[in-house]
Amino acid sequence: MKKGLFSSIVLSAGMICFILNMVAISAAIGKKIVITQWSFPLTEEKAEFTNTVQEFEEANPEVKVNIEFFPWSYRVERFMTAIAGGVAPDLGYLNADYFTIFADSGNLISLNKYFSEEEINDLKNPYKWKGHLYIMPILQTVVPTFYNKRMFREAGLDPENPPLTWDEFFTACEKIKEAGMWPFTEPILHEDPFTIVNPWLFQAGGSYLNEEGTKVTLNNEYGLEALETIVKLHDKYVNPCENSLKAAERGPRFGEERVAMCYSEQQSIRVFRKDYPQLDFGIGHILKYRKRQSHGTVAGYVIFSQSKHPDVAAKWLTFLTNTENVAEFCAELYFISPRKSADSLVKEKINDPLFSRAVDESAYTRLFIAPIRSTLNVVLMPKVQAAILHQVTPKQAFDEVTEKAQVLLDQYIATH
Amino acid sequence: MNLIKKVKNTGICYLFIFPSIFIFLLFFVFPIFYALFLSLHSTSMLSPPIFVGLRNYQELFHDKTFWMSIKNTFIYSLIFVSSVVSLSLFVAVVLNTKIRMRSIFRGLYFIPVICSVVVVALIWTWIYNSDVGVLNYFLRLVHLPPQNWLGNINMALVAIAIMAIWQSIGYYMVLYLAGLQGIPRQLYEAARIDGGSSWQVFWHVTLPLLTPTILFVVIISTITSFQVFDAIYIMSSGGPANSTSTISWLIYQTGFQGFRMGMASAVGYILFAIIFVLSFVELRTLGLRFRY
Repeated sequence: MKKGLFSSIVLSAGMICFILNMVAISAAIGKKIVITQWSFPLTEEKAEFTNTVQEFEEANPEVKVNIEFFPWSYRVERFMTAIAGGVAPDLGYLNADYFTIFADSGNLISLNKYFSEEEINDLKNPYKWKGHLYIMPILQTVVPTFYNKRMFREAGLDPENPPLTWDEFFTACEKIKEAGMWPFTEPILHEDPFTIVNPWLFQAGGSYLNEEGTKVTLNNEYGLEALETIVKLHDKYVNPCENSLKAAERGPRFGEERVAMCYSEQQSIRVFRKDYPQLDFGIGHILKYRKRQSHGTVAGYVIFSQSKHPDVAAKWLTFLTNTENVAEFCAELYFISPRKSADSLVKEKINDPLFSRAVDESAYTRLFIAPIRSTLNVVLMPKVQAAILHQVTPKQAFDEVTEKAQVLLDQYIATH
Repeated sequence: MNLIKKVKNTGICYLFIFPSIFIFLLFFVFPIFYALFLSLHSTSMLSPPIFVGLRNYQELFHDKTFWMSIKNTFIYSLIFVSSVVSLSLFVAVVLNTKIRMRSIFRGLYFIPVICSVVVVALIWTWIYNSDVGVLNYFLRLVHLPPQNWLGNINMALVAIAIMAIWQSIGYYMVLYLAGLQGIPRQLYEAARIDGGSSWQVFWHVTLPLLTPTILFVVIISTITSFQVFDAIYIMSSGGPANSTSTISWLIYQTGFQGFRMGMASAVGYILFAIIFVLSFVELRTLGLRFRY
């Protein structure tokens, strides 16, 4: 009886293995090369790439492009976990701000051999890292000041003449406050402190790192002035309720006319028009102090070194980011073209004076690109919050951040 | 021969429990040892780990953020454990008496327990909203000043604890009810005959005989409170200014946001050590008060 049972189990296991093997073989014979791309939704319908994929697959019938959409939040952690688990996709959407840590650890494929010099030179901002192009941009953003024209009028400000300098900005804030309205929105429970800090830091003439990228310079006079300005802004011109809000609330607070001004990316033009049709708003200037610079981003697609078909992935990437497709993609979603050749096409298709204003402001965009960006994020945000809430002085806050960040930077340099 | 016979007889049993043991080893035992390995290395999980010995632990002990997380975790645990132990007991004692609609009340108290923590946290985030939240609405109604619940360094952790207590009372209430129903009725009758008041009956009969359940609730709620993560992830992201950063949040933030998995593993081991010591102390001190 027991012998019979044992034999049955062994035979059954053998049959199952044989069947599974046959299924795998037959699947392999008829298999297309599947390229998986991780994207993050820019529309509710998630249909950004449908036509492009269809066109590519018709021209390359042996290839199937599988685009998977994930939520925006914590996307960098998602890639990190996938790489650690050996299940990274072929392509992934990354911002230029933080692709370097993936590049330095050998997880990205250099795109130098897949794109000609002409194609690379067509990029407005080809962010090469250690001589290699890792990220092929598909969009660019700028973060100008959005302002509510009705609230400006009510405060006695000229709605066609938004502030340009820090003095003009704070004068406008004062007038809006006197008129009984909140001038600015900046939730502080933010995933990413750089959108809060960067504008003021860059305009004050400051920087996170020195030119060589070996020393943290946040606590110099420019950095301190920037943080003091952020604290002053929050003390006087931001509703204290925003101390408990996350970044996602910024747009709705502006759209619902709870505040007169906000920093937002230019694609919000489309979103505000759709969700808040009554909103009468304009695109202001990137402010000027010692410098006229602000936060923005360039984002695109990378090919992970775990890809089993990097050449095919590169073929798809070349197609996805060519002039025509970039122009169509950016025009539909109100992004600035990262390609010079697509710029005028995008402007023509959108034909929106507000968008054209935003494109003009994009000349003042500056990115902070460093491998310790994500690590610095963890250290920076709590101290910025502490300074805003007067738990520490701005000097104490940035001294602590600088000290901690320098240790992390030194460790990173020592191991890379 | 006996051994061979024993193996033959019991072999099939091991075959059946092998999948569970395999999963236990793979997802529980292996990660424990792998985390120890990682804690002695510097790694972002994107490249091979580099051995650094005890440097991660050394750095942690000099890190203000780490000590703040420890402090926040203990404060949270104190608030959570003391509240659930007492409030759940009170609710259980009341719902153990013969009151009308007792079953419905028991169900109502248990409903928050079966709701997803994410959903509960999202709803409470709106309840706590200082502009449009319902809590501040009622405060304004009674002419009290509205509070910035999640935006105030001194209040945010307490606010999250209140949400967690609200959600957990039902679970511990059920544990207490089971314990209460295990107390023989004759003891209550005897106490009443001896002229004991309700409070005296509770203090001298119910509470001593409920001690094993209380011990269990204290230990479980302590372990649960030390592992709080989801509520903080949803409601405050550890802020403002690290005021709600607990050890579990620090592990996530260090490992997944800061790309320092070795350091995060070191924090994890320290959390394990704290929970182990606390559970041991509770078992030894409270366990001595066991009565039958």
